[in-house]
Amino acid sequence: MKFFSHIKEVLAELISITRREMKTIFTDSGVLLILIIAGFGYPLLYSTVYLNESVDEIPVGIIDECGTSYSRSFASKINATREVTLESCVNMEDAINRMKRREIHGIIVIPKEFSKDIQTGKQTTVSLYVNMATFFIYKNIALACNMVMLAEDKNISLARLQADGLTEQEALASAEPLRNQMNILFNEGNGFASFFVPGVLVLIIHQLLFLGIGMVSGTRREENANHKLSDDVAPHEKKVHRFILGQAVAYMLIYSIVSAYILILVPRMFGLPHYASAWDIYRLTFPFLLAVIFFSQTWAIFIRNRETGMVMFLFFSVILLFLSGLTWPVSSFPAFWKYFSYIFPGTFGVQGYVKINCMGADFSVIRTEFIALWIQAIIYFVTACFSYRYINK
Amino acid sequence: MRKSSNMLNCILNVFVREGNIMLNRPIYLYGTILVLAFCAIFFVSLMYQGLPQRVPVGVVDMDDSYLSRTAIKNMEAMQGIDVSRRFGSYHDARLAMQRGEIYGFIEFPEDLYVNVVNGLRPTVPVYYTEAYMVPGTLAYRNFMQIANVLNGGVRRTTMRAKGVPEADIMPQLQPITIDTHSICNPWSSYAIYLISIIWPGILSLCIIVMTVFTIGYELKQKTTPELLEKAGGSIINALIGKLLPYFIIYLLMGLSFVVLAYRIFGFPLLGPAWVMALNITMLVLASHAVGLFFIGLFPVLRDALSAASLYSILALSMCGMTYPVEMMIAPMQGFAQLFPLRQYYLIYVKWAMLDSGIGDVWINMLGMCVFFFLPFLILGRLKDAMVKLNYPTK
Repeated sequence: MKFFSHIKEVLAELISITRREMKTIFTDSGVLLILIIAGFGYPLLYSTVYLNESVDEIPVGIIDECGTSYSRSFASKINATREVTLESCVNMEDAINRMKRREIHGIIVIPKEFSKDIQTGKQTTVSLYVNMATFFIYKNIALACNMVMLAEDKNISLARLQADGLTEQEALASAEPLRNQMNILFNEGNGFASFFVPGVLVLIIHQLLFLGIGMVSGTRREENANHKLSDDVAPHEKKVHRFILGQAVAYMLIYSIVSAYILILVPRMFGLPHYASAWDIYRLTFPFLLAVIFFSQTWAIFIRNRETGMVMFLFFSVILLFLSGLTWPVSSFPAFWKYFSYIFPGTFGVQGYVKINCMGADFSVIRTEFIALWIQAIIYFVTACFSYRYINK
Repeated sequence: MRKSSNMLNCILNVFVREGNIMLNRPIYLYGTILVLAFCAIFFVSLMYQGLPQRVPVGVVDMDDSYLSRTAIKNMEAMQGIDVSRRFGSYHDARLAMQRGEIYGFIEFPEDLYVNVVNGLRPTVPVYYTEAYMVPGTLAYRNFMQIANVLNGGVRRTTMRAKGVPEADIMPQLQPITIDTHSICNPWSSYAIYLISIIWPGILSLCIIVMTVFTIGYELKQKTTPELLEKAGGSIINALIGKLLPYFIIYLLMGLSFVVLAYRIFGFPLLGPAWVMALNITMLVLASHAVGLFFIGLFPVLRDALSAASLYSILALSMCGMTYPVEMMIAPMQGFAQLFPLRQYYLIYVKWAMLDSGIGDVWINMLGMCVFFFLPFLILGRLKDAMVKLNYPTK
């Protein structure tokens, strides 16, 4: 019987801590702005920035020094690709000037001997000048030109072989003994938003929770004369974990809703990949949120003022994006940064989410991330206890 | 004459006062120097390869013939990919891709060699992912190359057997080639492309946030009357003296970046290097101005800081380095103009990368200068707040 009354007492305390935390959150406009308003607004903003997804019809200048019907037909094939639209330029100077004015993003030069070389069986070289100021543009122009080149190479070989008296079948077998087939698996539309935004969504949750919790604990310590978290809660060392758990429940309750909106609803609203079931996303989000919350509580040790958290860790959003392996591949990480990235729940959160929701992986595939997040949650719970104990000493 | 020396005195007073404040709390050192140094080290050490090397890819070899083994050997010799992983089936390879272990794979179907010899033109499928765009694209590029080498190899053997002279073989295999020149980044280095903008972006972010913080903190502590008194009652003196130490530090950081990147690490520039020095100086000034604008608009530390944070982190997306602004929806194109980093990016691309001269960038320089005048819009409001302290401090 004593056991049950003890449980009842613990539960009552937890609930009262949770309620207090809720009250703090909802009566503080700064915290509300970060946790709730930014939580709902920011994903919309990011999704709108990248709304157009693909980069099509990029203007590229063409200088056709050859000027034959053949060179024109080659150019028109490039013009016909989804990625590129050609603008004819008089000469290199004209083209470069237009590039400087950003009217065109690349220059293609078809050499004077283009047709002649091909007719006489010489190799001819088309020059492509691109500027790597925007990676996505650079990539798409190069891709389109390469595809046209390969197709044209095959056509020329075919024509020559047929001219030598081979049948179409024989010529094909000789010109292209192996058929290449390039398939994109996952993000088949080669969309920028489908690649970039899902990872950012997870990091938005990570950073807003971190900054929000930092603001709440910073405010508490600032208002307390001795920079403690509070005088009346968790005064005894052994009870500090109840304080942490009670707070965590409050954030969990709020962010289960915000996360459901960000990770389940927003991708559907903006046509981003959404392969995972709501249940799978929730299974991943649960340990992710726990890890982020305990992680943020641990950092309270460094945050003595309401605003310091924001000043100190805003820039880290950019670092976290790179640590998640979304742009620069993890396989090329130096060992130090690879292990460093394991510190942050965001790393596993982004990877797990991208794998199940953008690549349609089964939940079993992200077992590593799932377990890692649980380990982080446990470790950061313990460190949060130490941190709170230290602060309240 | 007296007035100007008086003004200098006032500014100096505030400057010294600010120096003491900065030395007394670690956050100032942190926000001015440590963050920026950390970011520089982080990006340079993370991406020291320039472009990812040895991107892991897989092979599904159902053929296991002379042809497929030769192809694998060829791939092993490529710098861009690492083909150490073999899979028994398409399904296994796809699973590895979902796990993030590989970014692409090539499949050699059964009887490939036999079918080639018999002229049946078997298909060699290649799979790569765009869910991780950079390594996926690299995998694609290398596979494309290998597919050509493979086709070429088979044809080369046939042609040699027919007695085609060696010099004629290449033009036959590839009548047209494309020679890609990446202007001002000849190695197509992802690191150069990225660091050129992302570090100045973080610099701008730090300046905006710290400007808001340092003024907002005084408002919050209600120390602004003392500040104004030291400044001889002039808000201009007060702000100049207060922000001068930050400006000097950030400018030094910015200029060191220019020297390090374009002189020591040898990031290529077609335009003159002083343009980048000028560009980063304007960015520093404009960012201070934006910071001032925020704290003047909301003379409450927490509101100004939240707003400035939400705004400044967007700059990296809105400057157009990842996704072109020209392709965004119209309202976003207008929105992009509200970020100094957008102008910095355009000046860099036009003048430093393409050596356009002033003719094509004066409009962007003007755009940058517009930011300098932002603080004047809120000067009265800010002074009011500093004197009356009539805003909530919590």
